[in-house]
Amino acid sequence: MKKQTPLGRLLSIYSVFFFLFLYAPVILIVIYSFNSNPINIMIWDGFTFDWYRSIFGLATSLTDTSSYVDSTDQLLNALLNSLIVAASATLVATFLGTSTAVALARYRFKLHSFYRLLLFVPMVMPDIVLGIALLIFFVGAGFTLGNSTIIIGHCTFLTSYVFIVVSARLAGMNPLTEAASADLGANEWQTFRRVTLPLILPGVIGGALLSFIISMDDLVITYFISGVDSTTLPVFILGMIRRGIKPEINAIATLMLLFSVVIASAGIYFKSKNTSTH
Amino acid sequence: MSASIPSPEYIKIRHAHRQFMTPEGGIINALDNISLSIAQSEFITLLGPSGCGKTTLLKIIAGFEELDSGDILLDGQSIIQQPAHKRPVNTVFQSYALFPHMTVGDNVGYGLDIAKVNKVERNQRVAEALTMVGLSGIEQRLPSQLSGGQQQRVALARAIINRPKLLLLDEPLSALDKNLRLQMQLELKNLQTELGICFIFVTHDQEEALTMSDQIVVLNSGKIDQIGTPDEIYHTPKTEFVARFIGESNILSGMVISKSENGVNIDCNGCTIFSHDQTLKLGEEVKLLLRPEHLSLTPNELEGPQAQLTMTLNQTVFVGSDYQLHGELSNGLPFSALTRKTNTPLIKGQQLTLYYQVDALHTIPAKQKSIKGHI
Repeated sequence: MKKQTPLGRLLSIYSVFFFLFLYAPVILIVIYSFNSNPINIMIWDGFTFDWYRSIFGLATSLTDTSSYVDSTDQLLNALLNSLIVAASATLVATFLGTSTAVALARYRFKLHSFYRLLLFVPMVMPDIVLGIALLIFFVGAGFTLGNSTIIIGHCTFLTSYVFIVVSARLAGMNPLTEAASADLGANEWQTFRRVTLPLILPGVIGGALLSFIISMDDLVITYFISGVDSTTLPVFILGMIRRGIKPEINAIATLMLLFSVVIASAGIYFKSKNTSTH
Repeated sequence: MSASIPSPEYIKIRHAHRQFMTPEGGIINALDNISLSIAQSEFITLLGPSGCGKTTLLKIIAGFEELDSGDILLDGQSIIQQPAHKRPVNTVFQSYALFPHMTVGDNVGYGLDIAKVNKVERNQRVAEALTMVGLSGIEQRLPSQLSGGQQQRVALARAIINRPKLLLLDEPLSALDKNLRLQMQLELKNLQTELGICFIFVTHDQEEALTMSDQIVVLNSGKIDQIGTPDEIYHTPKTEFVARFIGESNILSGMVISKSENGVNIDCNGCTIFSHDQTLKLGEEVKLLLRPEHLSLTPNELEGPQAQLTMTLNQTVFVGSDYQLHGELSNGLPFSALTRKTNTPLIKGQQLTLYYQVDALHTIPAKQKSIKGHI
């Protein structure tokens, strides 16, 4: 190997610090989620699974007074809400985003590029603006805030994410394959089902998984449009922290991290699958 | 087969017209009022440089583009109102456009699956089509596992399996290397003879057109310049464009200065050239075509009267079997000849006497309109 110049060495050190800066807080959370010190969560006091057990309402070695999760039921309920919202919003957004992407990629019509622009806007719109706008809209239109409003709200920006991922996939596809299908006697629906959809499927699945994580993770917009009975996991955690930082937070954060990593890895796997489709 | 006698007007293109807007706002006639008839079971080539309208015409026949005006009849029926998927026409695309997610068998069987042909017959016909293109037994492979030449054959098998009335081929050989291309040219011609269906082949490669076609349609800026057999197109081009586009050519401009009972004398910038063409009028402007291979360094009067030209040699290029001689005539115009290996030393600057059969000289009236023709 070539000998490193001083500048090269400096850059290596810089990149180590860069990644340390990026990941140290996350790694600390994972480590301290196993810390048995119930009073000061950042002082290491020994290894324990108690915080994980406590989240799930299992028997722990903690005394009653040191248990911080108000109610395991509430936590699990928030998790369930999050899963329902994420699953429903993902389903709707994937359908809308995919069909929009196909329409914009394959047909030319009036205001074509304007529609494309409109689909990018929700991604750059500040969450707080979208949250307030949705809240005013829902209240004005007489909706009762609950899971359904969160699902509708999430769809407004998740559709954009699916659209972008699927559009990229469509752009990489040889449009002549669709012409070939029509040439061989397939009508537009048969062509979509047998040729277009299988070829863009990795993008569709990737977009869906991305939507799912973003929906699970969304705090700001959800905070505005969730009702009393429809607390999602991020909103619930925010509520917990308000009443003091408690050791279970670390364990919950670690579990969410694990979940996100699994979903994101699956998403990346599907997105990169058969990228060379020419 | 519906008819035992091949119809001379199996496909009729009537006054086909198609315009495009350029980004600058101008109008281009991609097809300028083209009329054309094609006989059943004929191998016809649309030949022309890029932008001449040949691909547009193919797309219109396939149903991927629409005509502004005009009509296309296939076996007596207008097809221009039918969507692409209902036309009894199949296409072999330039980039093959195989379905990357399907096996070779599913690619070839696609048309039959859409038509809901039963499994047994479908598999049998897939195997037959693959055998026809020389690729039997590779049903389970994916297109990405095949070479370019094999993909080409799969695309061909996929297009013929529906037994179309007409097969369109959009420069299908352009991506192949030269040897494979020559082999595929012969195979395509054999396949066409075997199937007995009409092939419309689009290419910009004049050699390819000459090798395979029964008839060649030379297109130039949306118009038909000439329709004819490869022999006619090569030896008796009707326009200067066709003469230049097909094969190597020496083209001289001249004017008829005298007439006799044998023919005419044509003056080309100081060179006087004699032609047997009696149709030319005194004072008429004319283009003269002499193919380089019709010129020889040695006289040979056995096949008819010969004439000669003097050329100053500038460059000699060895092309395997022959020598290309490039130089200029006494009037300064560039000229070239193709000769066999010769004992005469070829030195730059040398004066060479070139002999040719007077009958090999082809004349093209300088003002020649495009034709609307029938085959």
